[in-house]
Amino acid sequence: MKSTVKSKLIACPVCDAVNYDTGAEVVCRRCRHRVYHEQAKSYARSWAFLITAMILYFPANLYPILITRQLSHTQGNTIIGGIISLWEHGSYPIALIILFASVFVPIVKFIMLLYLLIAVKIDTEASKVDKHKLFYITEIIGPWSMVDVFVVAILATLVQYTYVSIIPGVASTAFALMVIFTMLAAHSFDTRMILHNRSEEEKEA
Amino acid sequence: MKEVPLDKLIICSECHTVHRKIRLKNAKKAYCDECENVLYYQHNNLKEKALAISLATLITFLTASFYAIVKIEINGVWHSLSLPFVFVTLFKEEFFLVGLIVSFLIFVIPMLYVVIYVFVMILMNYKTGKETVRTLLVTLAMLRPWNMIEIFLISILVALVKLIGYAEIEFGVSFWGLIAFILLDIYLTKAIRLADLWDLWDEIYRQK
Repeated sequence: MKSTVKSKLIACPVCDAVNYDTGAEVVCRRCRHRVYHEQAKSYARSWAFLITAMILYFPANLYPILITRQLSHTQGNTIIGGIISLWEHGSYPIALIILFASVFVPIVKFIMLLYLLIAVKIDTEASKVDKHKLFYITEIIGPWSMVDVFVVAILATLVQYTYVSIIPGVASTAFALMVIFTMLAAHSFDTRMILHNRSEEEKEA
Repeated sequence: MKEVPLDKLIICSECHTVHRKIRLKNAKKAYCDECENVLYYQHNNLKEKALAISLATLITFLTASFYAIVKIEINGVWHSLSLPFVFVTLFKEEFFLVGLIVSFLIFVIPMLYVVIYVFVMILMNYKTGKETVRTLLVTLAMLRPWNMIEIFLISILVALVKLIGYAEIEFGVSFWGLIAFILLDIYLTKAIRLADLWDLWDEIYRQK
């Protein structure tokens, strides 16, 4: 049932309806939503969001994400510090979840988006199917890095006692914003840029 | 080439291969032959089914919001966590930005999503409000990536593991409500896809 239609078709990201790709702005014929903007603009926007997110990654890791106040004694914990202390306490699965969600996922997302954005301009070996898969994965794993921010919010809500309390650190703001900006970068990435590469490949073949 | 109407075509959401749609038997799925991703489902009574499940989701959401999810005890003093309360505490601690972001991702957006979903299904069942339903379906598509309630559940479990040994932990009514809500929410977004609702929309309002 695979179609042999070769004319330029794109799926509306809002309602999945198939539209003709005119190369410029496309308004979906079903949901009437402006589904694709000018390509140069969405390319620049994606870069801008990605760079913002990468800058925020530094304060998110260097400053304490969680501050424990115990009587007069105050102690700050960074993300990495939290993972190490969990590991030392023997909570290996939780340490691994945090390591995956807070350290691994953002870095993988940065690398994937950087690769996709660079690959639009430069010819790479990877096929267009792989690139679409890669983009799909970056969209799926993105929100999972929010785990650490939620954990801090939950602990801050629960642990409010006179002699011990937990308050969110500066890094939690930076981290939450970083996740939002990487998601925005992925959303503004125009998948037509991958299609564009494909049609050029086919012309050469 | 131009003879194929665009409505008969579907593009795989994962690998962007173009396929021609064929009619399936009830409750069957169509798969992409390039990457084996599910392309679409055939639901014969989608209209009624989606209304029923969205109403159930709304009810579980209310159960998950208005009671305590977990309670902890340190030295005889109990503190509890409930969905709307996270926001209040973070604001008290003057973490406005984090408070706002977190409460949107775990409370406001999931709530809007379910309420709009129920509203859309009621309108579709009465076959009225073509333009309203169009706008609301677009809104649903916009809200969907920002619904992080299932990530919040994992976060609760992580937070509780961190508290083991320091505090007495007890699960509240809303914890089970939250689990039911998340399961139904996943069913609503994964098994009944927005694209299926758009096809239904086409079918219902075509004559008007």
